[in-house]
Amino acid sequence: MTFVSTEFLAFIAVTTILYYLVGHKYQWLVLLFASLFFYYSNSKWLLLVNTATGLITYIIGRLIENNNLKGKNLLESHDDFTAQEKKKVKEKTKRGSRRILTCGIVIVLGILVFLKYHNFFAGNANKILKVFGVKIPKHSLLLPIGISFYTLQALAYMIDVYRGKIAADRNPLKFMLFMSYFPQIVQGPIARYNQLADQLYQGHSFDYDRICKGMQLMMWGFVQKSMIADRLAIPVNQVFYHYRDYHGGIVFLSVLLYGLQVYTDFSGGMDIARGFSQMIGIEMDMNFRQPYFARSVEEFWRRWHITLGSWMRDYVFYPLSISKPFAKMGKITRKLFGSRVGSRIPPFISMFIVYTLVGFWHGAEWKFVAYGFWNGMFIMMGILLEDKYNLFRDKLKIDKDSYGWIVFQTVRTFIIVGFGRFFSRARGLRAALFMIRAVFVDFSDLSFITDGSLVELGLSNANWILLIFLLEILFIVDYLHYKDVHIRETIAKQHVIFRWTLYFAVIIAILVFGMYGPGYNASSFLYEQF
Amino acid sequence: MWVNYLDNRTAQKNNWLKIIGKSLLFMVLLFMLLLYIMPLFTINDKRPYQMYEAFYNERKDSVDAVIIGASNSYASWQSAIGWGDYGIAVSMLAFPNLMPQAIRYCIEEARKTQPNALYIINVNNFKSTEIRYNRIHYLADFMPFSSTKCKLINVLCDAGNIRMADRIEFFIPIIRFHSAWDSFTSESYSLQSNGLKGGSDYSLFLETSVDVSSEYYYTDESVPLDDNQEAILTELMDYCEANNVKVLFVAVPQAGNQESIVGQFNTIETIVKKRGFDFVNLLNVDEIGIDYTRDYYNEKHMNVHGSLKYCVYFGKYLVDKYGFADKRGDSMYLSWDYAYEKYSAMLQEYCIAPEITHDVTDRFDKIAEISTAVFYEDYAVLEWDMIAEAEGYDIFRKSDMDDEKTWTYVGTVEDGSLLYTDYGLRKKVIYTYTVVPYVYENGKKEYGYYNWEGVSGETIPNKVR
Repeated sequence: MTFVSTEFLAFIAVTTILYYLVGHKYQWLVLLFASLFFYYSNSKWLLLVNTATGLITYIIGRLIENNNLKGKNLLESHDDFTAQEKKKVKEKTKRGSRRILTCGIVIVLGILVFLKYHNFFAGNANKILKVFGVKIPKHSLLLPIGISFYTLQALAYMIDVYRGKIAADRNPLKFMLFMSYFPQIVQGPIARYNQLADQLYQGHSFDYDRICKGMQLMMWGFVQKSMIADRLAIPVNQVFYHYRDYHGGIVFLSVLLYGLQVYTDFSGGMDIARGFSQMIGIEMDMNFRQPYFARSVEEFWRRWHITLGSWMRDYVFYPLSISKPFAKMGKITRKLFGSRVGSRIPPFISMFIVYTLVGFWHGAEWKFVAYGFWNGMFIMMGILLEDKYNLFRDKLKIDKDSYGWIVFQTVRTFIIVGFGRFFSRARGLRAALFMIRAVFVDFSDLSFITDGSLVELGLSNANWILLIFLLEILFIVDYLHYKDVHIRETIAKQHVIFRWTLYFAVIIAILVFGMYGPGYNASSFLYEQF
Repeated sequence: MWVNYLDNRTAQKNNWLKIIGKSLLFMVLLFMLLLYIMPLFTINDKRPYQMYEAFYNERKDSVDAVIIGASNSYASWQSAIGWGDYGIAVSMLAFPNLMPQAIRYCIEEARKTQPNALYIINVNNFKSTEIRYNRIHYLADFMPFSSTKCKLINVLCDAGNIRMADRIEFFIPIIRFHSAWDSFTSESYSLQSNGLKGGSDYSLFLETSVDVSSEYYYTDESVPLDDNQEAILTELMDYCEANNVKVLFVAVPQAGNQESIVGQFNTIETIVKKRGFDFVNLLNVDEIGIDYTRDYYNEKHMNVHGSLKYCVYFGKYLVDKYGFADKRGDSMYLSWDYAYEKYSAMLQEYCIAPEITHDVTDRFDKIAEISTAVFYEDYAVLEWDMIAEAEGYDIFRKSDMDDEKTWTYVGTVEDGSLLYTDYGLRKKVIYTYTVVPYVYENGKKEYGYYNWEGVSGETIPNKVR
C-alpha cells in the first residue's frame, strides 16, 4: 500500500473516522493498529524486525532509567556519603548506563548494519580476503520499510534517556506506536521522542478547520508526488538507465530534472504524511524549507532533510567535536598550523565524517559515500574560502544583497548540489563519473531542446508542457513560502466559490494528470529505498 | 446556567449540522463533476459504448432477440440490416473477447429490460476463458452501476485472481485510463450514440479482405470441454433454466479454427441439446454463401461482405424457426428504420449497395476488373476485362469530394462493349470506379462479384495541349 493509491486513501479515511469515533483514551490504540496494519501490508512479516527493534529500544530505555534511578535512590538513601563516595556512585551509575546504552546501540545499529550494509562490507572485504582464500558469504536480505529512519529514532531515544533529557516510556505498546507511526515510517521525518510521543499518546478532538487544512496539505503532496515527481521520473530514468546513449546536454538536463524529482518526491510524501497527521491533530517536524532557494551548499543542507541534518548534528557532530580524541587533536593541530587554521581542522573532520555518514545512510554503495564526500567537500570549501570569495566579490563591486547576485548564488548552489546527485542517482560510481565527464566533454549545443530529442525521453509534447507549467506552480508556491506567505490561510480567507473551484480543480487535476494507478509503477518513494 | 448549557448545546448542534451540510454539498458537487468527466476516461475502443447505448435505448420488452457473444458476433450480425431485410428487432450485447464466464451476467443485465426476448448465445469464443484486464474493461466501463455489474466484475476478478484492491479500476476506469488525456481528439469529448444499433463501422471490417480459405477447418468429431468450460456452461444453462430464458446457442462461420475449437462446438451442441436448448452450427452451411477467399478481414471475423450474406441467412433462419413478425412500418420501431437507413447509406461507400452484395450470383467465372482507367480534365475512360456470360455491366463511381463519398451509379453498358467514358467530372479530383457484371434472371438483374475497392485516378487540373 503506497501513499499514492486508492487503498491508502481508503485506509486513512477509515483510520480518521475510527480515530475520532473511539474517544480520546483509545485514539493511540487506533493509530497503533493502523500503523501495524500499514507496516504489515508493505513489509509483511518484516514487521517483526520493527517490533523487535522497538521492544529492544524500550527495554534499553527502561534499563538505563532504572539504573539511573538506582544510583539516585542510593544517593538519596545515604545522606552520610562523602563527596568522594557520591562521585564514585555517580560514576558507577553513569558507567552502568553507558554499558547498557552501548549494548542497545550495538544491537539496534547492528540490525541496520547487518540488513542494509552486510553485503557491502562483505563484498569489499572479500576483495582483500581473496588473497588469503577467505570469503564472507553474502545474503539476499529484504529490508524492512523505513529501517534507516526508525533506527535513527531509536538511537536518539536511547541516547536522550541516557542523557536524562527525556524519561523512558513506561508503556511498551505506546512506545511501539512511536516506533511505527505509519505516516512517517516510509520516509521520515526522523522524529524525536520529546516532540512526537506526547502528541501521539494524548487525545485530540475533532476540528473541522484542522481537517480541511490537513487535506489541503495532502492534496499539495499528491500534486508534487504524483503530478510532478513521477512525471519527471520518466525522462530521468530513461537517461540514467541509458546514459551512454545521450550527449552532455541531455545528461546535464536530466540531473537537474532529477534534483527536482527527488525534491518533489520527498517533499510530496512528507506533505502527505504531515497532512494526514494534521487531520488527527499531530504536528510533525518540517523536513524541508525551500532548499532550492539556498544560496550555499551549507545552507542547502540546513533546508534539505532537516531532521536528518539535526540528528547528525546532535548525535554525531557535537559528540565527536567535544570528544576527548578530538580535543587532543585540536591541541596538536593548533600547535602545528597555528590557532586560526588549527582550530578549524577538528570540526572540519567531524563535518567530513558527518557528510560521509549522510551519504552512507542513503545506501550501501560507494557512490553514496562519494555523494557525501561531494557535499562535505563543497561545504568545507565554502567555509575555508569564504573570506577570499567575499574579497573577490567586493573587488568586482557586486552588491551582496542585489537581486542578480542572489539569483547567481541560488543557481550556482542548485547546479553544485545537482552535480552531486550524479553520484546518488547513477547506477554506480563509474556511471556517475562517466556522466559528469559527458557534461564537460560532450556538451555540443542546446539544439536538443527544440529538435525533438526531449520527446524521445518518454514524455509527449503535451506532457512536457504540463510539466513546465507544474514546475512554475511549484516555484511560485515555494517562493511564497520562502517569503513567509501562508498560502493555506490566504486561501481560507477567499470566497467559498473561489475556494471550492480551486479544490475541485486540484482534485480533478490529480485524478487526470497524476501518474498513478495500474498504468504506472513509479508510485513508490525514492527515499523509501534509503 | 441551564440556559447557557442549552444555548451551548444548540450552538454545537448547529455547528455540526453546518459542517455535515457543507461536507455533503462538497461531496455531491465533486461527485457530479466526476460523473461528467469519467466517461472520457474509459477504454480507448468505444464499440462497447455504442453497444450499450443501442441496447439501453430500446423500449422495454420490444426486441425479438438479443445476441450475446464476442467480436465475431458483431462482425457477422448487423441488427440494422436484419431489420431492413426482415423487419426483425435483433439487438446485440457483444464485446471484444467476451469471456464465457460473463455471458450469464450479460443475460441477467439484458433481461432487466428485455425479459421475453430470445437470447442467442454465440459459442465461438467459449475457449477464451482467460481473464484479462482489458477484457473486463470492455464489459464494465460503460455498463451502468448495478448489482449485476458488481457480480460480473467480482466473478471475473475471482476467476482471474485479481486482488480486491485492484478491482476498483473496473468501477472507476479513470484510475487506469486517466493518462489518455494527451491523446484526446475533439471526438473524445463528444461521445454519443451513432444510432446504428451496434452495427460495425470500423475500417478493418469495412475495408479489408483477406483470403482465409486455407485456415478453414470443419469436423464432425467431438472434443471434450475442460472442467472450467464445462462448469461455466452448466452454470449458464442452470441460470437460463431457472429463469425460463429462451436460448439459442449458435456457432458462427469462421476460419482459423483449431481442431479442438470446432470439435468443442459439437460437444457443446450435444450438452445443450440434452438439456433442451436449441443449437445451430453454421460453420458448414453452404447456403450462407460465404466465400472464405474474400469475405473475411481475418480468420475469425467476417468483413462487411461476409456479414451481409450472413444477415440474410441468419435473419431468415430466425424468422422461420421462431416466427418473429415483420415490424417494419410500426411507428414504435422508428429508430430501427433510422438505423437501417443510416447504416445502409454508410455501407454504400464500401459495397455499392447492400442488396447487390448479398444477391450476388456465382455464375461468373471471375470478378470484373478495370484494366485501364485514363483520367482527363473533365472525363475518364474505363476499360475492363470481359466476363463470360455477362449480359451487361453497371458502372459505379465515388470521389474524394464530400458529396460523392459513396458509390453512385453512373451508367450501364449492354452492347458487349468493354469501354465506358464518364463525362462531367471536376478538375483535380480523385475518382474511383468499379464495374459490376450482371445477367437478367426473370427480368431482374442478378449481379456478379466486383472489386469493391475499385480503381482510382485523379483528373488533371488543366487541359493538356
